[in-house]
Amino acid sequence: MDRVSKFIDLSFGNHICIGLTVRLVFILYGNIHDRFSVVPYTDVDYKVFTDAARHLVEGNSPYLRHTYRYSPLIAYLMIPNIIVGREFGKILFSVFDIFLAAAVKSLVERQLGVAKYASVTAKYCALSWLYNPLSIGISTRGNADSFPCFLIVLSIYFLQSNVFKNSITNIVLSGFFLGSAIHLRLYPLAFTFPMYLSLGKYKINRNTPIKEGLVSLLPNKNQMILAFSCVTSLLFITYAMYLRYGYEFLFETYIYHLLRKDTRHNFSILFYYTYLTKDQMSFDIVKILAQVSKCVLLFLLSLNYGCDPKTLPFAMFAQAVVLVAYNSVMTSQYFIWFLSLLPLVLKDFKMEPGKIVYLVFLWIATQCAWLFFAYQLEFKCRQVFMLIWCQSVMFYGSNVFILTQLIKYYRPGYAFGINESGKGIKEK
Amino acid sequence: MLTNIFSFRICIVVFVAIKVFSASKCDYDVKIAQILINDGYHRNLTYHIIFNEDSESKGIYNGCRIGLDQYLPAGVFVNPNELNEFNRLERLNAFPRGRVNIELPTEEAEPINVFIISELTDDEIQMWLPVHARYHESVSGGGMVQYDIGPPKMYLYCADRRLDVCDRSVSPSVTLTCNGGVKMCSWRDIPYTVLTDPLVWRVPVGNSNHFYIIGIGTAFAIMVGTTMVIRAMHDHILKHRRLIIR
Repeated sequence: MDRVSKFIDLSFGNHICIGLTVRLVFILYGNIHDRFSVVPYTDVDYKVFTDAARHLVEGNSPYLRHTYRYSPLIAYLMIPNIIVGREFGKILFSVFDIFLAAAVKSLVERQLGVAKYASVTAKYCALSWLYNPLSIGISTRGNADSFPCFLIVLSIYFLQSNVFKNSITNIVLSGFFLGSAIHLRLYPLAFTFPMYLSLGKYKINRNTPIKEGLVSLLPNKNQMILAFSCVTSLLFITYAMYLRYGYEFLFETYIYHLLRKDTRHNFSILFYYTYLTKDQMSFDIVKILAQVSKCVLLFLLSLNYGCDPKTLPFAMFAQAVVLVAYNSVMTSQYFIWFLSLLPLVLKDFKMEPGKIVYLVFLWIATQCAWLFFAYQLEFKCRQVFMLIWCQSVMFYGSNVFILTQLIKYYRPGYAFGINESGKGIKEK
Repeated sequence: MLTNIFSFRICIVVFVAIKVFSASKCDYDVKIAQILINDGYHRNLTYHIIFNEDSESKGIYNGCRIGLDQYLPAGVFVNPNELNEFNRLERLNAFPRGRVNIELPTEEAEPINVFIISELTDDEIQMWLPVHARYHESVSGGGMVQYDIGPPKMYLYCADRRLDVCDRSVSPSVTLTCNGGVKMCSWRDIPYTVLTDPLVWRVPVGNSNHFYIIGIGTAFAIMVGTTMVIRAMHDHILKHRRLIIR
């Protein structure tokens, strides 16, 4: 225990070095693992990015690579995979991981302001990302999602901390990074609403006259700047890519994901239903129910937690959980959507350690149970569709249950219960 | 007179030599064992090929190129990108003949042919091809569907044209790519003996009779889950209004 304390007490710079080294070791391990194992360590999409980058180097469109369904920017980032070495992309994603940890630390410090415990609290938050086995696994397997996740955290960072004295510059940069993240992945679109709301001032209660209430809903200067910079950057980058790669870019990057009909097994609660219907029903009440439920939850989370800058990260985190849990396709790479936002809110859950362990165990156990049956299907050809569906329901249930528990125990400003001396725990 | 007799004997020797050599080449004593290894949706189709096992004409095809043209039913496919990767790493030289959409289910996919090429350096050769099964549409009662994989067509190509003397009615000429590129070569279609049974790949399919129970169960789970989250939010806001709302 003493050793663990000493390790945690290392300077943040040392932790950054260790975090990066751990990732480099895993990249090396993955290289060796892939040579001998039937089940590769490297993410299948990493080969897709690399092939797309090879097409770019040869002067062709990255979309010549069948199943490349990302922005060309990802393929551009992967060009050194061809020129320098095939592990470059994994190292780059690991570096984004490190930047994200640094951004988390800086952001939490600024959120906590002048409090003496701000630095130590922020460090713990950053370490939770730096040493998260899932973040290490996802980036070192070559998943590109750490890039848009980093952009999202940067967007919150500029929105909530006065990096530049001129607040307009901060908001413009925030909008720019948010727009860039939406260009790369569609899901951050959901975050625009709470981020927009967090810049407003709402004093509406049952005694507020209607006219005054409506006026307070009108966008203020900061909200308009955020919306303008976000939309402008999104349109600018997207239009530039459209000019270069045409409709194929729009279809593969965006339209395909909206119309996606993936009937192969995945974590989603909708997987077996989609497989049985082949997604070909003209009026699909189950799919509509899932979409409506998702939209209602995203809206309510924005209204309840998005209107205050203090609770904005929680609103976005909870929204990311909902987006993943209700998605018609869910693979482990999607978990990074909410895991990358978790360090920003981790400090604010007033929860017993035993409860935390229980929730983590529940999440991992339901996932492992699903993986066990998925392995039986994919690698042993056993007829276990019904069992996989049962496990998908269990996993959905665990995601929802954990979200309800996190909402229940959420106390903005709790900051791990560390007192002003930075050592003890606040009395309950 | 003496010169004529000498020339005649030389001709006979040469003729006999060509006859003996070409006979050994054109006998095509070729055996093939075709096996699917691994389990699941991702397997390796392997070929163990033996030339002239029972004759003394060892190594007569050394330096030639062997090509296997494998027909795969609609439920089985090769991933062109995976093959490209193996080609690039020089672990395999194989490519589909025609376009392959790796995402289609069996019912929407077309059968494909894959051409696998290897250099012959010995009288035995191992060749392989990574293959994948497609998802199949659900059927009443579920269970398994079966994909049958037959033996490939086998071709030989020798750059020094040593097979040109062989009878074309036994091994007809076929024009195919030389080594995967655009350059075409005249290959010889080689008869062979298959040592193994036709391959059968059994893949699980969903049970369409489950439609109602899955639909109702999924909808019910979503409604319960959504209600739980809304209730948690409601309780939390009511209890900690001062903390959440400015």
